[in-house]
Amino acid sequence: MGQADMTVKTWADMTVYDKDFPEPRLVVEVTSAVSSPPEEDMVVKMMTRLMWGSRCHYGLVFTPASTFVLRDTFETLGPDSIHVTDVLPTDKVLGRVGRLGANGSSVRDLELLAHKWLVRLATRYEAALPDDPEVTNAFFPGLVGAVVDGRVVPEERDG
Amino acid sequence: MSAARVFVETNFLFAAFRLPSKRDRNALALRARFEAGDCQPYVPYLCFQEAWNLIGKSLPRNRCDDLVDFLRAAASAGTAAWDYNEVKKFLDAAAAEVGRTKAVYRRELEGFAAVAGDGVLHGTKDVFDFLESLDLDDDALKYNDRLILSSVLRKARELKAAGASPLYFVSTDKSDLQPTPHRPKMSRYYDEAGLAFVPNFELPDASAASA
Repeated sequence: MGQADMTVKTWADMTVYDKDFPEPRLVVEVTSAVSSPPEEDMVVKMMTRLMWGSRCHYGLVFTPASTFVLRDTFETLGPDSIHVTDVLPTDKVLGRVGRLGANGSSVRDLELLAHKWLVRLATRYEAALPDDPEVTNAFFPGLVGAVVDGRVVPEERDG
Repeated sequence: MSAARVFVETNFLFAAFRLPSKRDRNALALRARFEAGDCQPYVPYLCFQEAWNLIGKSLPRNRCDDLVDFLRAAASAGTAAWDYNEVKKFLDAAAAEVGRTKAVYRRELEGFAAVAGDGVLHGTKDVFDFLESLDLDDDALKYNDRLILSSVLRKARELKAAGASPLYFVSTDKSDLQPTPHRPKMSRYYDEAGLAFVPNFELPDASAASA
């Protein structure tokens, strides 16, 4: 989803819901880039707002270069406890389900790959996560536990 | 512009009436607007039944057992610096929230049905006739979802014919009910009913709803 659309967007590209209940466990957005610092980026702000509103504790923003992990750290009583806690190379995160094209891929390609990875993460996280301490530290056990057996629901795109 | 008519379904009731500490903040804000008379809710009766069942199933059975064990073990081993009784009080309060919710959630839902009043949509012959005639883009939709959609669309058509506007259908985790360009038949039903689908319990324009 492009930055220009963020002024009207109030939902994520994909959501992982609890397997039994209509409870969002992870919200996921795919975008072309995140500006620096990430906390000031429109997409990250939208995700923070979504997470707070729906009481969802985890979020991911995928760009072709980097994956931003958002987490409610519970440091405070308010939404300011939601931070970007980890930034990882997207190739490393998604590497076990596929690779983006060498010459850069479209957001749509990345979204398809991220969807495939999320489904695997929810069903067999060992087969989704690379053996890498940086990735393990970012995802395990909190985020992995939140999405286990979850339902990955992509938002229908217009057009 | 008149007050918005807002259709909700099971996932709203679940989100707004489940264990209080887990309630969706957007759903709570919308619930407060309904209760203040800021906008009118419409809810298929079936959704109340589904919500009773879902909320009951979602209440934790052993909310703090592991933590109480850990607390005692840590305190017994002398590795914990915190006040045992204070932490125990906190865990007892968390466990008590479950019992309290179990005791009141049905009554709270009944209270919301009273707020909705005529907005509780029952499965009348007209609704089932509409369901029979419903021609969607795919047949994957579950029967209860088809019934909910039929209740919503039929009532929305009636409201539109009476000049009511705006009409919203607020839902989450049910993208199957979302009209998209890939679902032209469903989209046509929404257009004919003057109904806008809204995800995430956030009305698109708060001022439109309250004007």
